[in-house]
Amino acid sequence: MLSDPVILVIKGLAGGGLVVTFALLSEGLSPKRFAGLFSAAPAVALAGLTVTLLDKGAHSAHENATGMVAGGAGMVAYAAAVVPLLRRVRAGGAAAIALVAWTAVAAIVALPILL
Amino acid sequence: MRQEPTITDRLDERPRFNPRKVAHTDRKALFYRFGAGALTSIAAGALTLAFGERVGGIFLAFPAILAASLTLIEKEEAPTDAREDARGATVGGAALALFAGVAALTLGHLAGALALLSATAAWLIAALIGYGALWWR
Repeated sequence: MLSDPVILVIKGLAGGGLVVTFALLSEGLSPKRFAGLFSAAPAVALAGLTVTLLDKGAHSAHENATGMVAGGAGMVAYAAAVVPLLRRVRAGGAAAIALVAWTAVAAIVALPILL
Repeated sequence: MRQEPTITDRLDERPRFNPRKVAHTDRKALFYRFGAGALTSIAAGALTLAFGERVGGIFLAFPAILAASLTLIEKEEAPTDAREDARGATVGGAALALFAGVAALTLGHLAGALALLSATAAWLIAALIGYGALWWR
């Protein structure tokens, strides 16, 4: 049985590795809008759920995935909000401001999930 | 100068994959993306430990990777490319929510690997159908 810190490191390495894999795929794709599909690929989720499945079992992974539905809804709002923001501010600022959209929508969708 | 397409415009250019572009990927950009992915994964795991699995699960869909990508694309390519990437990510994000739904429905009922494979297939199929329905000319 691995300790929690070790599991976190494994999740980090797996998540980072999968993100790079999808990023490499996205780099080779065009047009940019098609490549953008893969900017929202489930890389972190696949890594996290796989490690959770192996470490804690299916019930824990199921609970993680249930919570993720709220985050996924937030992701749609984030991407939609960031496009007009990118016309007005630099990408770093737009990315930060759009987090308000992610947080608001994820919180609203999370309420029935968490209660 | 060619006008930038809007999110409702269909695109003439057909999707394609060029392996040479992959070979020329900037290593520093990959390092930043690795970092964003790793930090998001660790944060989701830490929040799971602190507040429970459902709360931690919310952050499995935290847009850190998209944020990192947009910053890098704007810097290395052009602001219009960053906006186009984000437009694509709206459909990818909707498919991501479907991934979560399929995973939540199948984990505990199917073998773990099959559940995740099903969810990933659902994401990919939904993303491709969404792209085709909205933007394929």
